[in-house]
Amino acid sequence: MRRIPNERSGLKKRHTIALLLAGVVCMPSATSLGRLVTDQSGRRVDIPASPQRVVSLAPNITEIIYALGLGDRLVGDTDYCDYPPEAKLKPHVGSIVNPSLESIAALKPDLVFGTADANRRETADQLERLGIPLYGLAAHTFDDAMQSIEDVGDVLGQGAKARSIVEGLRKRAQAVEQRIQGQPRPRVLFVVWYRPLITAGSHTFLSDVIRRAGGIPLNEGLRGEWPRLSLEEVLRREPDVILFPRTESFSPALDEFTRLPGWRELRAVKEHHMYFVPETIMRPCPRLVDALEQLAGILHPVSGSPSEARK
Amino acid sequence: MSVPATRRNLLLTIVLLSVGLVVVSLAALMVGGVHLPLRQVWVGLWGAGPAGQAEVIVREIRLPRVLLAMLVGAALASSGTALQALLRNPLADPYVLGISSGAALGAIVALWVGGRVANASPLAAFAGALVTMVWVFALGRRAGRLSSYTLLLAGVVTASFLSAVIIFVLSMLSTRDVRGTAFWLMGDLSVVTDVQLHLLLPVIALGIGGLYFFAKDLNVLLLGEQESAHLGVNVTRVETLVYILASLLTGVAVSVSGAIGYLGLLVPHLGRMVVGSDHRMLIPTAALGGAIMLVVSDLLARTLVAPGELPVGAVTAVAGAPVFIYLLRRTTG
Amino acid sequence: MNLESTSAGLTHANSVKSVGPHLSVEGVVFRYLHFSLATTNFEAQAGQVVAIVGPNGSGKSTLLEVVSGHLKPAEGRVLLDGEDLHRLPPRERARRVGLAMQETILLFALDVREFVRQGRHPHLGRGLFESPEDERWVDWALEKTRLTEFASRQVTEISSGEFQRAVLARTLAQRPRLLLLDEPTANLDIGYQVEMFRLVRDLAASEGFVAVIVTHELNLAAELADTILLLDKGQCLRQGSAQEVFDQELLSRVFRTPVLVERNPASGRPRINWVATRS
Repeated sequence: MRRIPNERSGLKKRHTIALLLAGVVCMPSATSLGRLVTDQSGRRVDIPASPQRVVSLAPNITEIIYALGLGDRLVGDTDYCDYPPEAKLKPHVGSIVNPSLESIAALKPDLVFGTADANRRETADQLERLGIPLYGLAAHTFDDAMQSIEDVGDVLGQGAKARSIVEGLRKRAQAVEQRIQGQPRPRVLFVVWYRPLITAGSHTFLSDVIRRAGGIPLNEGLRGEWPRLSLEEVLRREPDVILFPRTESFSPALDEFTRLPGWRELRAVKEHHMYFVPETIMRPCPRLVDALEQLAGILHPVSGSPSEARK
Repeated sequence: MSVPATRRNLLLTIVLLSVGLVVVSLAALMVGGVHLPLRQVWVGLWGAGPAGQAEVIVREIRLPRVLLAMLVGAALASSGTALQALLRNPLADPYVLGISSGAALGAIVALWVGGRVANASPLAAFAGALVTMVWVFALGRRAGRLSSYTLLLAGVVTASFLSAVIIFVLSMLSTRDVRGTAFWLMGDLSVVTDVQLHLLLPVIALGIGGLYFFAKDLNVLLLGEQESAHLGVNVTRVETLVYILASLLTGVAVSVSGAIGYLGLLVPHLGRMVVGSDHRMLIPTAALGGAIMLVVSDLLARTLVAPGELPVGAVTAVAGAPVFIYLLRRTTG
Repeated sequence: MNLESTSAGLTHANSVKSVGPHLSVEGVVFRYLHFSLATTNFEAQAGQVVAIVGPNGSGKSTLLEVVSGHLKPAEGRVLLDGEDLHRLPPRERARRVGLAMQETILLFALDVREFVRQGRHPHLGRGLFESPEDERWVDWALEKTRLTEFASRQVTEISSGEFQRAVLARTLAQRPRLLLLDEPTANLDIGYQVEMFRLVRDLAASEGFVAVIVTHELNLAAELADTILLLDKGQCLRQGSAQEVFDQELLSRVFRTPVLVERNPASGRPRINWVATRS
């Protein structure tokens, strides 16, 4: 539902048209002036100039909002928004996949943030019908993640701060790249799930991060977000390092793999090059760079000894 | 068509199907992301000495899968056969009494709890299957006796209820874990430990052997519970023991490989089309036929979209149904 | 309690010597929920046919199951050759007693021969397969019921009349000493009805077993049974020969409609007709 501009008496029709045209011309990405914008996921949304009551539908968005110092504008987030700790105290609207529209509406937000990877299109459509605009982020690469931070900043009127944060993050990322330049790149298998074996696709955010951390993701030719991979293929591609995301429900005992047929023949398993990485490696937010640095430390140890993140 | 149950026919059937099983198993060991010639497969199976990559592929990756496929296929097909007789219902399959839902719920709850418990998910699954088995049995009794009619109803109701609970629990897990639970809905043969294989072989062999012990009784049971009683069958004892054996076979199979569908329903019918309803012939036919079918399905699952993989349960469904339709038309057309 | 006995009815079992099977139903009472069978006594010798008749719900099928030893009587006992049938293990009982009641519908493909072969189940030894002798009895049963040409047809594809004969064949294949049939002629045309009754009677005589048939066919019972029991509401109102039992006034009362009892000139046995009334 489009917000219709208030009729202001005294403004001649001619000027109104000129103003609208100006707004249309200045449209391309989110600006603090425009009301009709194209969000990062490509949708056209009509958003308020200065949103004061914001709901976040994904953990990375929550983190970004707090990093910008705008935590007090956050009126609601999901059950899974766990960082920073204050986020857990905010009113919850449900899960990422199935948030409660009623809860969102009850909070009377003027803007909701979502991501194209985790949230569903239906949620956005339904919110639209309720008159609540949803700004969608979409991060397929590291650069997209940085763009997400800037977009949130612009939408919330803190564009300058966002850009300075991003600048700092990019500097750190560059530092990593410089450090590891010229070093041999290990082949990395990222195990999203091992039964069946699921890894990240070649064009995903995760693969990009791994590349920036100095690794070669082992997923050439695998399309889609979370493709299944056969163990035979893994054996053929010979990973140097195997990574597992450490989440609450997925913490396999790593020595289990030394006993599993097939796995135990992988050099990476035999030589114990199996590591946990923090879940934030898959979260497009400022802490991502922490994880990136940590991952680079695993793949290219500074002093030659294994990093602390192992097991 | 039915093949009369005689010693000669039984032996002939077992030998023919066993040969077929060996052939498809060798094919499964040879074919994959890398095609290996028979000689290399042979060396991989029996050869000593340092293992090259080919031998590792054969011994560590393909062989456990093939063995698991054989065992699980045999278990599910035998269980399906027994349950179709027990419930006197051609639409019965190993999961109709809720066993697979119970196992899936056990594993998913273990994942939800997280940590060390999550690692023991096969055990949690088997526990879930056992609890479901006891629960449905208790519910399915009428006037103190087991009645196949109330057993079927109790099982169907329990299965639906458990499926609803599973969906509820899944909605509480985060998105990534939902992907892993595809295992329970579609099945997967890629992970099996040596210990599991060593346990599975005797358990499944004993389970199928136990069912075969009741083969004659199952034939009579097809006529009806009352008719069976009048022909001297101890109906309660036979039904209880067959129920337990079939449930254990299903529970063990599902705990290790997830819920692979259609096999337990189709293979008994395919078997009946070939050898008839006499369980003395049908049980071995179904067991070996199920083993063959799953080995072939897994082979297709591994190779059709290489380097990726299809869920094996999808292959059994997509491949099994047309085969069934073809045979159905041939016998009735 | 309202037991009218005649000389053909009550005899004390032990004093009678007989060559073949001897069925003795002694003081049997059965109770189930709201239904009860009152004290019933009767006897039959080898080669005899007993018919149990009565209106629906009178307890005929229940009595048949008690006589088979399958149901435990609350009082009294059923002896076959001096053995208490209920106390026998089910397999032993199935070797002596063949009971065919209303059949469950079959959903699986089974040919007639396989169906009849199940009758040999109580006799199968430890071996896995039937012996040649078992197969011979199956052939015999198929032949007697004139089903030999149907042997390889699917049980689901034959007519209901043929199916009933198959059930009889299966029961015959058990080679029982006591044959119990619950309405074996329910779906048969007149020709097959007569044939079925005659067959049972002839076989009972030639093979020397006792047959007890529950039936609605009063006239067939009159013609071909040696003893008839008339049941109503769980009580055996009268038992004996057809002349003794088929009393017009009694039958009209029991079946709640006027009937006419005449004599079949050919056999001298009673013939029952219902009376057509308007209004």
